[in-house]
Amino acid sequence: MNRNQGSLLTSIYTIIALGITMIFFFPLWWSFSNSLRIPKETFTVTGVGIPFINFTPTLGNWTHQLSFPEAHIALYNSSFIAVVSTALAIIVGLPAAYALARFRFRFPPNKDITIWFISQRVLPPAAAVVPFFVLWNMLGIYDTKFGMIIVQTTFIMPFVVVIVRQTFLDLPIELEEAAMVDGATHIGAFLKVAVPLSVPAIAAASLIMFTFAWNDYFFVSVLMMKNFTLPIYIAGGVDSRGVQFWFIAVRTMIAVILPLILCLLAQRYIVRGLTLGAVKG
Amino acid sequence: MIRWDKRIKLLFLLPAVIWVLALTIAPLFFSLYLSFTDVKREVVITGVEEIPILDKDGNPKTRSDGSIRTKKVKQKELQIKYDWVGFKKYKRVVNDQEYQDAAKFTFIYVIISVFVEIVLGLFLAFLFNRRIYGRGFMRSLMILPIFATPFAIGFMFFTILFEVSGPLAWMGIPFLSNHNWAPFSVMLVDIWQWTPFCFLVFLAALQGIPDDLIEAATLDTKSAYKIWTSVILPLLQPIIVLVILLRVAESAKLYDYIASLTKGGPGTATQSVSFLVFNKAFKMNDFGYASAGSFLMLIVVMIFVMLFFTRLRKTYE
Amino acid sequence: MADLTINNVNKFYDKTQVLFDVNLSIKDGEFIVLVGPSGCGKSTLLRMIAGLEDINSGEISLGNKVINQLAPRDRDVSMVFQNYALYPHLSVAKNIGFSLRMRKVEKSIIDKKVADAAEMLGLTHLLSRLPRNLSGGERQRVAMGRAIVRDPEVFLFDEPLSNLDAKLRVMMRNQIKEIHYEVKTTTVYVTHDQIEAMTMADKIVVLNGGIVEQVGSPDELYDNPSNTFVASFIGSPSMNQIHGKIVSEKGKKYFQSKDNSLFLLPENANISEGQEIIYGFRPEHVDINQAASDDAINLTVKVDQPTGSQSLVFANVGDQEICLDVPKSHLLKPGNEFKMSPQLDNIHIFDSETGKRI
Repeated sequence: MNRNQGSLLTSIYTIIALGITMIFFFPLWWSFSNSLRIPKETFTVTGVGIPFINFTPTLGNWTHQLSFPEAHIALYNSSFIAVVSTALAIIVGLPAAYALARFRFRFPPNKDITIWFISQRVLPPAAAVVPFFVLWNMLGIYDTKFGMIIVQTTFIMPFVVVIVRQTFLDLPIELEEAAMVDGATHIGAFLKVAVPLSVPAIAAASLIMFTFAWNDYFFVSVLMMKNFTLPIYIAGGVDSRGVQFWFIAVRTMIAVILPLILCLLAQRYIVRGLTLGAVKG
Repeated sequence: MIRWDKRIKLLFLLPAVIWVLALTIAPLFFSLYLSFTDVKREVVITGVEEIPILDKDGNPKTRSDGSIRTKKVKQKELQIKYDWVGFKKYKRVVNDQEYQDAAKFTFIYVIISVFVEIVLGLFLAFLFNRRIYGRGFMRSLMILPIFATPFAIGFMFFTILFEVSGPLAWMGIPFLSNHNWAPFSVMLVDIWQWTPFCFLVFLAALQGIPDDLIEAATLDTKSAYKIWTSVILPLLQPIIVLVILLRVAESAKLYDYIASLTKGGPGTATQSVSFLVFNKAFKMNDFGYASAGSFLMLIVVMIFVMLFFTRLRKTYE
Repeated sequence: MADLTINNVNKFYDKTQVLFDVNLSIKDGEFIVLVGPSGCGKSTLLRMIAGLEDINSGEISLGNKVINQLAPRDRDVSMVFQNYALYPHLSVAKNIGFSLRMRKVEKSIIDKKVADAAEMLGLTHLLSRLPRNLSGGERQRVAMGRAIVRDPEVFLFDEPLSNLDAKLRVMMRNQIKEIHYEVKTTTVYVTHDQIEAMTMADKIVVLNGGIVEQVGSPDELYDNPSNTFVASFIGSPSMNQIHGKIVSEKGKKYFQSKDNSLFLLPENANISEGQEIIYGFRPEHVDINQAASDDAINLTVKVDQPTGSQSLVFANVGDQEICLDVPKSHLLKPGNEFKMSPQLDNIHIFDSETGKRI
């Protein structure tokens, strides 16, 4: 293969890749573009909706929508639940990740415990939803942020366990041994050596867990009523207003924009995270 | 391995184990129990209370005569009764046309979406593994859908597939109003969101294949097709199997897209098992039906996962 | 300061036994080297002293105190690891001071001790760096600094020089010796390199397959190896060992190799005619082409390897290859014949079945 042919092929591949990328990016782009349009222009825009060319953009929809107290409540509730659940999952899950990487359990063996943790993410949550509803009512934590946090923490914990387990496995054990000879307790070796060295993986796991807690709708729709989070906030209004593109666009963008940013930040760990540690990436 | 104190081992592991046990296994058993019962939810009025009506400053409103204006509020309490009915609910679920339709739709949905995602993901990974311009940038754009809020995505596609004036209206396809097209529209959303995930995993796997292995193969054969079938695919096979497992398990949960995009419609054309279970439980108050229905699905997914159990054990060695 | 005693220690991994009834007594201030081929259990023994491995049976005591059950941090030992195990997220100063901070020593004292240790090791200008910005030799010195800063009862070294190149290794050997001379702390040093063992140790412990083969000073091990394993493990190049039996001729005792070459034996040797033995002599303990010797053996040079002033000459006795370390000579070129006789004072005789010294 000569060089000309090589660069020609590269160009052809690039064009195909670019085309597919554009198709995949289009829905997000369209929504974003819609959110910048004057409401009455929503349906009349031509082309692919490029601001300044196909229409005159405005931030009016955004400022209008974000001025409602419901938007603030939804944003606050979603963030609060996601942040606290993530923190709790780390506090409880990190030592477990360490235990699975460093200690040997016989009954059941480590790998089976790991798979059991993973099964929280594989099995359908529909099976647990009725009991949660009944129990949460009995315990008086139905429709509370506290109740929601407990549920979210449970279902995002596998991420920190499997992602950071792999990172702990990759750390040389001599570091913790050295710390213990140097006078650290087991817990000291874990907190002062293993955890600081795993900060990037822990951060990535946190981003992924935050996103999953933020994105959840199923449990929210079962266990929350007045204490609504973003998905419920989006839904509210759409049903009564009918099809108003700008309105749907702004609200979906409000929900989606933070996860999209986190996705780019956690890029390096997505493969490991979403394959539950099975592919290192 | 370090010499560890037994108590320390348990101290590290047990909190997470107890947490997850208490919050998944316990509800599952409760759910199992519920599936053998008839649950009646009744809102019982336990009393009436008079409370003052407040104005917007929080002060009680008064009438012209100075007395405080009050309103009567009924005090409600949710009472739940359980009657043991044996396998009655299961029989009903299995014989219920609606459940059968939902199961069939979910099954077809999973098969088609996952198949397309895997094939398309492999193709894209192959494409991006070539020397192309702006790869990093395009890769970042490609993976954005993965983290987007699924429920919001449903609404987003509602605007895109809107038949009257959406950007695809010129195609003249009744994306959401026709009971034959609507299931495909839901699959389209799944494919849009999760093909990037398959692509990303396969790309990582492809890049993990040592170059000299492929170079060695090119010495043996000039056919790119042969290199793919005899070298690359066998090397990717364990990862492909794993992605299939994860995708099948995940897409079988189908709920969020339906809840925002089609609401199960038109008719019941896009009603998934999870969606049906949710409606039965919280719109029709039939907890027994919902529990039995979700348990059947749980069993099917569990059997499927068990088929991969040996491979999973190897992965987490 | 205290003696370190190891009493009948056994170690199993699952069902495989890796240490068999190890007994050692190490005096205060001694520099002990555990040496042996890989997998002989030397590192395991060291880690048991550190408290990083369980002891299945037997006792390890420091002074009068049995330390079997103590956690590593309560044993007052410090350890230098093969790959240094420096904390990558801490600066050199923080690495050296880690153990003191763990023991809640006052800040000003930590600073002082860290500065002293850095001074001794020539690390003062590197204190604020992170380990990843150091060369191999510098990392090695930081690891040492971390061990000495605490002034422990025992230093433990686990093959600390094996990741360094040859030149640095010689330098670091000297530095470790110097430090030991200065602080006089009991030291247990593990290596697979017998030269390291010979040059550094007060006392060498040769381990093989989980069994202590011999304990002694470098000279004892070199002059009087107690069995064929020690004989071949200590010394470079290895001792020549030839199989054969004892014969008598003209009132003198000879060793007869398989190809019927006769080697003169010292008169006082405690052996009887017909006995099967292994006849050993070191490459450096031979005389070449000396006119007076009637009992010399005729050999042909196979290969010669000049090493400077000396030359290693390889030849065959029967089908066994032997190596001779002799002054360089133009007469010892491949194909040439020469006469060789082992020096009578430096002959080692081992039982051919047990391998034990006779």
